[in-house]
Amino acid sequence: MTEPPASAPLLSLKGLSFNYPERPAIINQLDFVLNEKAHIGIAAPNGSGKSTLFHLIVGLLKPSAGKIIYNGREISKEEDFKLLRRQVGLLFQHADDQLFFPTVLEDVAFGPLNLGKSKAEARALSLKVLENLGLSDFADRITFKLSGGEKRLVALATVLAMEPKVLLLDEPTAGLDHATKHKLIDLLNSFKDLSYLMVSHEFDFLTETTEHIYTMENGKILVDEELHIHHHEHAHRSGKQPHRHI
Amino acid sequence: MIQESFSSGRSPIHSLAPRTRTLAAIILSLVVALSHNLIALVTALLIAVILVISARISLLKAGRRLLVIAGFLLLIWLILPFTCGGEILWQNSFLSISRIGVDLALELTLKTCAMLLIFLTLVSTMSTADLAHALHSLKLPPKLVLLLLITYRYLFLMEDELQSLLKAAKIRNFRPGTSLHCYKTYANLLGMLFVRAADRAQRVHKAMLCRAFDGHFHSLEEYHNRPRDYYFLALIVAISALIVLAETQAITWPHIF
Repeated sequence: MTEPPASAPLLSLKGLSFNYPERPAIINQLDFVLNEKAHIGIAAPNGSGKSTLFHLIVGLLKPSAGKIIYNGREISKEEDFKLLRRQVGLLFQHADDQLFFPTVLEDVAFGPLNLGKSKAEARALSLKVLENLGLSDFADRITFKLSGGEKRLVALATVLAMEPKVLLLDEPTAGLDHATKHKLIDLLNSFKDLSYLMVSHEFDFLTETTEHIYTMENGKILVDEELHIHHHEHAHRSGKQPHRHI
Repeated sequence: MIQESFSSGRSPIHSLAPRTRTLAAIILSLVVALSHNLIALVTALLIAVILVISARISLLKAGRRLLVIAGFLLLIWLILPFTCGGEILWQNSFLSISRIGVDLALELTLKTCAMLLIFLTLVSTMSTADLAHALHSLKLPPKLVLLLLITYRYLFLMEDELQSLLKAAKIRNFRPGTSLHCYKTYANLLGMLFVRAADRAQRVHKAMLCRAFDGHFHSLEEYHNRPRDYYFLALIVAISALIVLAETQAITWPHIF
């Protein structure tokens, strides 16, 4: 893990709280700061409120208390969130929820068209994003006939086509095969100018793609900046073969 | 679930812009729907058959599609000729066949077959996405277009979910039958499907909001009419005019019965 460049806070959460009806607070007095160009991972078990946190940040859920500050402005009204969503892209846990057009190109162009780009601009931008992700051949493919890994990458393309400054990635590796996972690692490492916050329960994936890994407990993000030297041995079948864990 | 088996062909019909085909189908079916004259309707059916041939759809496959409505037509033939009254063609002690009934049944049969074939050649020869864009460019409200697109997109997922629910029931030795337990199981499966659909709809809506969706549907497609589109539309309008003429001139059907 490398030290992040010192830079201004882009997104901060102050005392954020949220609970689903009739349930205890799943997000409880949470404080968090995401700097520009910072790449942060959150490793936490399922049900710890990671997805809820992301939905709160982009205003899909309303917090019961606390503030969301983006670029120095407090975001509270739906109008503010609409502007925020142009710059903060959320990659959903289930790619199927995110791809709603029959063809890949239309789906990727949906965001840019909504942002008021012309058809020609939206088409050019979408093709460029697809090309950057190595998906040039996918433009005319039918979205529901893609494999799980392909869907995830296309979903990422739809988010990137909005030209966001911040990416929120919700379990980006869930259901991915080895090759696609490595492709995703390379892609994320190439996003130097983008900040991203990623939740995943795959620790190895987080170490390869982020500078800091935090955890979530009791509705709070815990920052553990101390280095803990540790090593461990482990055994499994075929362990003699040279291999990596991810 | 939806095969779209005619959508990818190479024929003069397939080479027309989707908008042209949709518009032609609307004009023709409107004229057919409003006609009562049997000569007009037979002409329309002939035109429909010619369209099927020029779209290079095999007549066998087209006929198989017509079978879908055969049951409905059979019902009409079983009821109408015996219940309409008026001039009597044939009768015995307990049944009488009326001329109006036969004419009506014949009219309905011709109309149904003609319209089905028209839609088969002009509309089912394009993908659902193309149809949506054609309707959009014909100024159908964007909400309806979006509804069509999203229904099409998620129908497959819904089918997947239904299949996985059915599998889950099957591996626990569920066998369809006629017992209360069975009906309850089906009710629960259906209920679960609705719950999941509603759940997914919410997630999809959220995903749309995340991509700056504001209720307006912007299409990426741009259609440019080529000369052949204008020629085809002109031809369709001319044919429609002929059918209307046959209708308004009240050229009567020589009674064959």
